[in-house]
Amino acid sequence: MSERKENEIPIVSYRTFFYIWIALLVLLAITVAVAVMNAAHALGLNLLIAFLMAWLDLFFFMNLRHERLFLKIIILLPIFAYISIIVLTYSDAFYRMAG
Amino acid sequence: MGEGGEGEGIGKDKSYLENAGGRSGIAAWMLSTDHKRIGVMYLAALMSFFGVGVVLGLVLRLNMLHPGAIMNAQQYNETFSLHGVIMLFLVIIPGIPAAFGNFFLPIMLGARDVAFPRLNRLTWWIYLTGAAIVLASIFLNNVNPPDTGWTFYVPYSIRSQTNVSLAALGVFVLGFTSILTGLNFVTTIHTMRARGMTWFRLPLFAWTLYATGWVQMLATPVLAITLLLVVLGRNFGIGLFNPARGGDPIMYEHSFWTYSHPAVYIMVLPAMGIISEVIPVFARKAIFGYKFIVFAALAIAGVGYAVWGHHMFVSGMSDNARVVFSFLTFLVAVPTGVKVFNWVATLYKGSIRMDVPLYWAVTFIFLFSIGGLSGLIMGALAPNIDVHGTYFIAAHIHYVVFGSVGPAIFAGLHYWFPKMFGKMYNQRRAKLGWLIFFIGFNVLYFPMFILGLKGMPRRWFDYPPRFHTGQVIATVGSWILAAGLIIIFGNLIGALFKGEKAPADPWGGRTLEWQTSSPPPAENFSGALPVMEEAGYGAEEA
Amino acid sequence: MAVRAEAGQKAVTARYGMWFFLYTEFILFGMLFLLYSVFRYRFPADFHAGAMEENILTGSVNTAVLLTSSLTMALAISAVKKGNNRLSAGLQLLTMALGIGFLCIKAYEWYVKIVKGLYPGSPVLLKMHPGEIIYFGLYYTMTGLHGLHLFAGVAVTAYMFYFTIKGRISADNCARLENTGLYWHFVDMVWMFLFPLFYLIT
Repeated sequence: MSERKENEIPIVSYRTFFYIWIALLVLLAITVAVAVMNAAHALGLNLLIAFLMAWLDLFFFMNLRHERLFLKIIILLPIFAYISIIVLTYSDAFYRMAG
Repeated sequence: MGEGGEGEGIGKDKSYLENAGGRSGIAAWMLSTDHKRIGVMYLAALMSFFGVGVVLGLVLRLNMLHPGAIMNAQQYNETFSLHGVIMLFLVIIPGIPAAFGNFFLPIMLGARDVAFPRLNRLTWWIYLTGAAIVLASIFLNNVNPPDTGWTFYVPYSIRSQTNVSLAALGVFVLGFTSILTGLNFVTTIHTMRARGMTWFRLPLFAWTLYATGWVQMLATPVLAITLLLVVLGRNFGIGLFNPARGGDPIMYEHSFWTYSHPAVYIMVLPAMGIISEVIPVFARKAIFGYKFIVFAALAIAGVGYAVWGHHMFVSGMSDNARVVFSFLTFLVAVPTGVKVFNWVATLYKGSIRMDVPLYWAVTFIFLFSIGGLSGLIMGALAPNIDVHGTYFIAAHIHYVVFGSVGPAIFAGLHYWFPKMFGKMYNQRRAKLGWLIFFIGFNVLYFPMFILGLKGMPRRWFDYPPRFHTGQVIATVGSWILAAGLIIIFGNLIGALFKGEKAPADPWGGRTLEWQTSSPPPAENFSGALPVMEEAGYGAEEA
Repeated sequence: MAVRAEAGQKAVTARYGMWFFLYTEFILFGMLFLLYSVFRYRFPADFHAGAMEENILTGSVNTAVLLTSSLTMALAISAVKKGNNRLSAGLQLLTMALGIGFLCIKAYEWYVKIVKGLYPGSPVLLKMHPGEIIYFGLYYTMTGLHGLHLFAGVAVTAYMFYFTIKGRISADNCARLENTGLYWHFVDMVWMFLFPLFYLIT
């Protein structure tokens, strides 16, 4: 029954989740601090931290790191689709909507 | 459609039409999770709504004979809006996947059902709910039906005093049908294939449903949020698309077409799948270039996702975007051309059997080529500006959507009818119906190309006298077309009750659905599931 | 048949379905984020002005609440897999409580704005700059849609809680709970982007 093993996500220890939670809270504190102190490139840093948090959420809480290879790869498809929507929309908006 | 055929004798199991899962009456259908029953219900619903759409279309044509005689301008706007909304969102977009996909995908894969049968039933209920909401928009609230056209363009859709919110909400709900059907099919293809059914042994219809499933999942949410914003704009004053409140109507068009162009491929890809099934069977030859057809389908789905801007060349979007979208639009023609080439090459030197399904398949190739090539004219920036917003567009959309997907549905219907209901129809009458449809279709829509080039604007209620001849020809065409449809459906419905018993494989098909009885047993295959031991369908290259 | 219908296969089929569903949710919210970015590009100053109305303290607290709810949800799944249904049920209850807590704080923030007359179509708002009208339109749409998703998450978790205490979810049969977790974490992830884009841009 090796098939079955491959299909199941192993039990993640409580401790791992606690560490991830603490990491997320630390990132939250940093991102708020960056904004409150009005640091240079605050927007970029905020977004960078948001992506980092999303990555932790995706790979640990959502267990993507234990998923089958297919699900790890196919997630790139919606991301790629979304990026192409953004790029193509901006091929118009960038030239038309400048503030 | 409760008429039951008898199991053909391959197995002793009762057919799905006789095995109601212990329920009776309407519940045996409405509560069934059997993908075949659900497919048949979709088919019945789609064909009923198609009938409604056809009647609305006939009324529209009738008005053009003598504008003002049977309706006023406002009623004309409402009629063409309903015609568009019903035909697109209730009929052709759910179309092939919901009806034939549900019925045949699991059988073609060698499975007992789809991956999520209960979700499938829920999806059917959602479809009915959405359809009910759309139809309610005709009379509810004591307001007129929507008059915005099926595109719900802002800012008019925010200002219009008609039932736009309700219709948009109905389309929003129908979107879930699309999403969940696509999700179910993609999961089914990934996890429910019979042993030995490797990816490159999949029937091409399954491949196109796979590509379509992804488009349904990744494009439909865009429509959902767009229509939601229209409803919020009308009812709560959120004006993201409303220029009076800082919003941008062109962003509406972007969002709308980000869905609605891929939606064309949601309609056409499965149609191409049916054609790829029918042609090799009736040419008595393996399909030419199986892998090319597969990759072309995936390429169409991919590139089709990125060309929506060609609907917006005259909307006022930036010049850079127009050039980008025009270029990408031409790219779609490449994989489409590959497919047409492969179909024709399959027919070449085949031992062709001229049965009804092949008539329709070849009609698809012919009308689709006209529709597709006229699309290239509009994909080019300069001619687009000339023909945009004219009858040329109306002719193009009808050639592509009705002239291509329609014949593909009829090809599928005539190809699979014996399997679905275990009855054979009258071939001669079916061919007569085809002939009259074909003549009527071209008499109805080809003059529209010419009217468009001469400058007849689409959506107009009235027109200058110089367009009168073309309008009359088109209207006469609509009557011929309707006569053809009556013969086609009369023949099929008659066959349901009086048709001869169909054998398990009337055409010599080689995919798995032909290896079970007609109609199939409730569990699809009596006994064990099939095992694909050798490269069967499509693997031998010509 | 026997091999295919195995519990493990069913679980993986269910997860495929849930991941695919989340892709559609991603595109749904993604379009709103795209509209946000386009309008922010159009009206940078108005967006800053609009964001002055946000309360960074309640926003940060709310983010922490949601992150914690994600933790308890993740722990609840591990607990079931370890065979501890009681602990899992407790953690699910805590998850729901945190989710409702988030919605309450969110409702308070909406209330404060609405009392000031800042709601879509309000006379106060319509006198402001177009960019600010758009900002608040986006704010209510995006946080409202997110809140609806969270509410659905709470409702589904309530079902799972019922299944867990009835023993219908167990170590061998927890695909439903795992899928609920996936959904919950996804809704959480949406907030990870909503928070900086609405609260931290002053």
